[in-house]
Amino acid sequence: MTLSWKIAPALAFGNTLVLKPAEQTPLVAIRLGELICETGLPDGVVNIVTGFGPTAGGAIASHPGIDKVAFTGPTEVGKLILQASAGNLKRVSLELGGKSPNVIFPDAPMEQAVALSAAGVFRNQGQVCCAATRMFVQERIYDEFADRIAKKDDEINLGAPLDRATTMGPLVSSEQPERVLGYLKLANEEGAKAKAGGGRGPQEKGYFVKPTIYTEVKNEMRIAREEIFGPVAVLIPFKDETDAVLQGNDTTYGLGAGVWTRDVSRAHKVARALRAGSVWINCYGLIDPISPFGGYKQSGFGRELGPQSIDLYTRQVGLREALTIELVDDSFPAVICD
Amino acid sequence: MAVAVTSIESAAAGASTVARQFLQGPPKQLLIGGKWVAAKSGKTFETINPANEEVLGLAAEGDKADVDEAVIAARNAFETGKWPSMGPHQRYLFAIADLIESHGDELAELITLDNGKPIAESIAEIEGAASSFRYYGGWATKFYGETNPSAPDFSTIRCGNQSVSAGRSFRGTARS
Repeated sequence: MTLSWKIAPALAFGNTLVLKPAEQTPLVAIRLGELICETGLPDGVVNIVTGFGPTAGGAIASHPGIDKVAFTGPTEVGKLILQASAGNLKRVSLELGGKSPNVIFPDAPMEQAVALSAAGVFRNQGQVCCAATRMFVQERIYDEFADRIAKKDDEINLGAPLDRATTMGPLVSSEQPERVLGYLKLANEEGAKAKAGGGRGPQEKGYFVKPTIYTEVKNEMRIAREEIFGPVAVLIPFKDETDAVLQGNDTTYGLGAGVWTRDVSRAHKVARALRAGSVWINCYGLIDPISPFGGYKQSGFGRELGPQSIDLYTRQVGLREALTIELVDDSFPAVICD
Repeated sequence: MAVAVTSIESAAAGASTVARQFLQGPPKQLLIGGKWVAAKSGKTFETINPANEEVLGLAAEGDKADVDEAVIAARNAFETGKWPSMGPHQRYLFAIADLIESHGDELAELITLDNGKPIAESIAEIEGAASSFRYYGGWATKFYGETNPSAPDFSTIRCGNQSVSAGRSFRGTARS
């Protein structure tokens, strides 16, 4: 629950807040609100307003009585919030979209690379801002990697999400399959080849889309540039480290990135060169409260979690204290810059 | 399209009794100033189970008028309420973490019902939420601010013939 990344620091440093959960998923926020009330927190410290983005969300973004807004969601909405925040110059932190590169070298621990790259892109049906949607695979191992991850894709159990045997559920709303299917059509038009999946799931009801992997993809294609926010991965070949970094950074986003190699110096070199707020070496998508999380470029700004997030929920004051209280000279300058 | 008639047995098929109990009953309301209230407009919206396209329940459709009320409540609690001086606030964060864990199965089911992600992912998400509250509960008692060295020219100018001053910066509480 990304809402815990906002409520917890706000409360830890003595703030009060208004929470507006996503309109697709209000229930858990409401239940959490009931539980928070059980703790004896004073009235008005946590307020919850369910509703829609343009109305309830818009009212929060532009409200003169709010000093700080933290938002997780699409990049285009983040831009609207930033514009709306200008009225009272409220502070804003934005955790927005992504098209994260995941770079696989031939010396990668291959079994883990295949399994965790698949998990990295298909978790929550791909509706994850830092999903590893662009897999850059070194050209020598491209075909082998494509075969192996397609096999992994075939093993995904698409079905009823409350069933513990299910490993992928439906997309969150009726709009989402339409959006994703539009990109699948586009992928075919752009000349990409569906190596696995493609299309709706076999279920009669529900917003199911099969986990889909495309090969023969170029980084210039729209399916490699635009955030699909669904279970769609693209495999793009690269020649060497430089090529991987150039292609990986050729995106308007900068949220997550992955590097798979057993070569320690290469791992760190590439990790530093990739412009992303979170880089994972020989793993992907691991998030813990200790490490800051957030983006560059159009993935937003501000870091949630970790000590870096404290700045978002506190104000900084420079306090200077004179040790002698004597008027020695009344001609000291009015402006001091140093 | 979603089916307008809500049958929790069908919409939340497979869910536990406790989750279904939460879903039963009147539309969910807004939490403003410690009270659960309907939206001023009286409007509600449907929330759908994406796995079967059935209505899980109704939630209040808050808009600007409700946000205004919520901001007044939050502002009062911050400006004139006792909350800011009740620190360190760790006990509340730990209490919330404990409640999230003791209601973990129910919360995970609600996530899965509303969002569609597999239950194992929702359980991991709930564990993550509890650990986030614990993490920040820890900061509540370990946030001291920072003391920077004094600038020499500052002390010279500020204090004239005195060479000693204290330069200190700290972080206070922001209003949110």
